[in-house]
Amino acid sequence: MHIPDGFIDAPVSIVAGAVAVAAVAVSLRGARNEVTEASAPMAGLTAVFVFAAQMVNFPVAAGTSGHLIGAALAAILIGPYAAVLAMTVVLTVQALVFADGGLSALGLNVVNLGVLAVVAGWFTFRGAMWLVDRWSDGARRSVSRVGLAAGVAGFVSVLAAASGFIVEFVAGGNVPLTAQTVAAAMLGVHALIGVGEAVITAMVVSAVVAVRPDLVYGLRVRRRVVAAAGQSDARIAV
Amino acid sequence: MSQAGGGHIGDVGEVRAHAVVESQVHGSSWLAGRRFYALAAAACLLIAGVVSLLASSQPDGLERVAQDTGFASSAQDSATSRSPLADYQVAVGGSDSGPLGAAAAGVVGVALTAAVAFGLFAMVGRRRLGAGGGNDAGSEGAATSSPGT
Repeated sequence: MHIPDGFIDAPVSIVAGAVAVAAVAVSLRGARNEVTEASAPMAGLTAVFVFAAQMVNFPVAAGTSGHLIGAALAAILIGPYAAVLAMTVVLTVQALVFADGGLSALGLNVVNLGVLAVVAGWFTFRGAMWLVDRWSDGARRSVSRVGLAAGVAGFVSVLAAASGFIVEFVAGGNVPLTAQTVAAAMLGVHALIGVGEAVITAMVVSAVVAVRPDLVYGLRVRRRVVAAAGQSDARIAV
Repeated sequence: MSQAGGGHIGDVGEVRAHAVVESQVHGSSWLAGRRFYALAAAACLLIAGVVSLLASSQPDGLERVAQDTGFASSAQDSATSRSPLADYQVAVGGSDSGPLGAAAAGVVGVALTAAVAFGLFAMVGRRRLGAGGGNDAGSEGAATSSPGT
């Protein structure tokens, strides 16, 4: 879903660029609470995996393909602030070196794929895990339940990124089209791509949870919640 | 878990201790320690350098929407479209470099992303220690910054 140059006009691109810079600045601070010297390699590795996985387009319908965004995956594995940074690194390398995604559209792509998708994916994962805990004994959370929550988060993250594009196109698209036309087309195709995102996100998160649960930020946060059993969940949630 | 590599026993204590608890809960994993990172890095290289050759070349979701609704023609070439690695190909003398070039582009991309991301997150992780009134992070910094005189 990398936006090339020319789709969105300059004013909206500039606003998105400013939002992206602000988000990265906030994330540089926020990531201090997520990334330790010991967990830094996992954060770097996650960015590399997202880059690699984004090269693999899978077919979703006749004549259409999609690829992993990886924003929900990154948020679950290394934390939402670190995920914003990881996605920004990937998108910047892609735009500067591989001409994938426009240069003037870099802010737009960071906002959609690096911020909106991360935020939506993270809160969906947290919400899904909260439901899992309500329905089952919190101590008996299986790998498959975490995987399911990750998959749902992946699906929602793609729709969030697509929604970001819809808003940007309506605000500053260089071709006059009704919002309804663009929204229907974008959400339809990306619901299909979202299924692929869900499957890959669920598989990768499940695999890491199975072999190295200590590396998964989304579980570390939850463990703190369990450890602080008496305290309110809301305090730690955000 | 044995502490291979020595060095930073103090500053990784928190997470290591957590890992020990985890390994007691979940049973020790054959992917403990660095083996996990080595395997994951190899998987990334394999995905970018080999699996990517099998990727679908059909338009992606956004390109499809652009074609169907009629704004595809508003796309412009990126300012970096002359990059030697543009479109995940290695441009050698202007000709298409084929699967070998695509594989090389993937591997170079992995290396570039790794260099930037590991550098960035190493900084973020270290800064946190420094801010928290860190232990040996300060002395380590001093040692590396003034090796000469």
